[in-house]
Amino acid sequence: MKRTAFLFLACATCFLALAFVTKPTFEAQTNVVDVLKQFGEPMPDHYLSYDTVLVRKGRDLVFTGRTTNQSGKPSKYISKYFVCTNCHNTVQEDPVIYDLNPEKRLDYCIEKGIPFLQGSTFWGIANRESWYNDDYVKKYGELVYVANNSLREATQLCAIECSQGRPLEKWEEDAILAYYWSLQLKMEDLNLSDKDLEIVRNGLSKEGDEAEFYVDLLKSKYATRSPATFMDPLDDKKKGYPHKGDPKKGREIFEISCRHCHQEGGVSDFLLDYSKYTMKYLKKNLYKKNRFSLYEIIRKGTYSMPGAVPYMPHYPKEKMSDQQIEDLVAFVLLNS
Amino acid sequence: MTISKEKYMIKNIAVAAFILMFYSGIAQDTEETIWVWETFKDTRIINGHSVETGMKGEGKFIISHRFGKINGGGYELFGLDQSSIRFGLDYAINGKFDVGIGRSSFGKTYDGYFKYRVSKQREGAENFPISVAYMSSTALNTLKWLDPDRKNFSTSKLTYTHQLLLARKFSPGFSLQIMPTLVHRNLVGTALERHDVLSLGAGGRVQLTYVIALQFEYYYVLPNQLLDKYKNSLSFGFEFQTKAHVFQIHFSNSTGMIAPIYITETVDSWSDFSIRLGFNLTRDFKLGTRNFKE
Repeated sequence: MKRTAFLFLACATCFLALAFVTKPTFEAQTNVVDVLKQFGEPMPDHYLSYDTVLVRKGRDLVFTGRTTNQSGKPSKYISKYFVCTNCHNTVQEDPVIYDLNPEKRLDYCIEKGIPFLQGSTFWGIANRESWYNDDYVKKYGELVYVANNSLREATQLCAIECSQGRPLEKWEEDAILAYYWSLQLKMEDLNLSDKDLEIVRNGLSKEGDEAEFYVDLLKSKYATRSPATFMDPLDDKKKGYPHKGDPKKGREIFEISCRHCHQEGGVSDFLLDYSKYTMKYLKKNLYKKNRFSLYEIIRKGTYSMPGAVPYMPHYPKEKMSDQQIEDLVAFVLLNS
Repeated sequence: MTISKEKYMIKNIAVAAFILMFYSGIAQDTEETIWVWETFKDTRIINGHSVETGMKGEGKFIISHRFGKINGGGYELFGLDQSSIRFGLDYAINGKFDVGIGRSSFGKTYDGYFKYRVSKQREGAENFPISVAYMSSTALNTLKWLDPDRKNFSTSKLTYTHQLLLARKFSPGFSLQIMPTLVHRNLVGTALERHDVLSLGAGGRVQLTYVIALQFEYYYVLPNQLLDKYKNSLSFGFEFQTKAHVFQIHFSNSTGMIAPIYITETVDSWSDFSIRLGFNLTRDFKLGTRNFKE
């Protein structure tokens, strides 16, 4: 009798142990960083635990430049001039998230009705591994050295330099990071094929060097950095870029890119509307070597100066292609 | 009392323009409300206020000059040897409500005002044909008393102005504004003058290029309120827009740059070229933060 009871207890214990030790897996809504962690990837330095309150505060800061502080009072604005969303989207902006192509992005932005901007989207920015890449060192110099490898520092650089504001306090930095993390990539965002899904699922128990393959596979499905190539404005503007401009596309760029800031009541006082005055003005300056030339301003932007702090950030090649500049020019010429 | 034919005609034109402003505001319903922006580029047309208010947090430093009469000839360098000046500082509290102070050399006058934008022209789902603002100001003349031995009251030097600004942007190239104005003066020079002076102003803007516009402004003072020596204020000028600056250059028969002066104390006339070259230089700067909305 005792022996039978012992056997029964032993079987029950084994059954329970098997039931609780489940095979590692993931769902469509599983965070990509959590899956990477299962492959032994450390959590990024900018990772933090967060709650909905912190996310809400971060969102406030991103969209309106202020939120409520610990005392429940409105915090000071980060900048008098800009908010993050003047240059950054907060939703997916590339149809294929590992292929950051301005042509495809424009089509996607038109389709989804979202702005086409100089900065990278905050959607998935927490999953990136470097910021202010490549040529941004030409603009911000040594400030980029720390911002390049730290999302915290990159956010501070954005607050102080890009938005011409003040340094973020620690709690504000945390709140914005929390908001970034609320926009992190989920497994479903990677659009893995059934075959890739099976490979990743089967590899979940792998460790060490063996896991590296799976980490690389996952990271190949999204951009871990946003390249930035600064271009000089054209020398021979009358000749233009060797592309035929499409005025229809140009109109879209004018609306979702230029007028994002230059619309009525927009962040810029320099209104760009569809009137003949605006179009003629843009045409008149088109071939000149000044900041009112589309060819110049898109590639060079303007710089903040004492007495004229607000400025326009330029478009790197990856944010607006030569073809798209020609499209915009074609639209202006057609309507002037 | 007889109203001259000319004044009668001007009055009729003003009434017709006012009716036209409302009539032409009838637009077809659409899903979206389209707000009309930049009826005027600046908060001033020439001497007087436009219907515009600044963006929230925007400061505005205005330096205005009116030189001497151009018919002074070469000896006076066509009026450039004399000048009347006003320094002004405006602040936009919330995008609808502006306050400002200023000091004019004419009459050593200090002034303060507030302007509230009641409504804004819009079309589409919501339709309202004009932009409306109300401006009220107080001015204090600080010249020494002409006769210090008599009993003088400091309040005698105060004047008050109430102005309704009704404007419509008819097209990107043309805006028109009508400004019924009441100026109250605590002390007047003679018993023949009214303390309360009613006038009807009209101002407009014709956009010539993206940065240059032609502007005009006229104030018609209703009859039998002022002495005959006072004339209606009439000004024409050009406005140039640059980054964070608006530069206006104009000719006017008024020396003053605030309503109680240009409405009730204009003595010069266009008919004999007793007009003055003048300019307003406006420099915008951000004191506070604008409203960032999602």
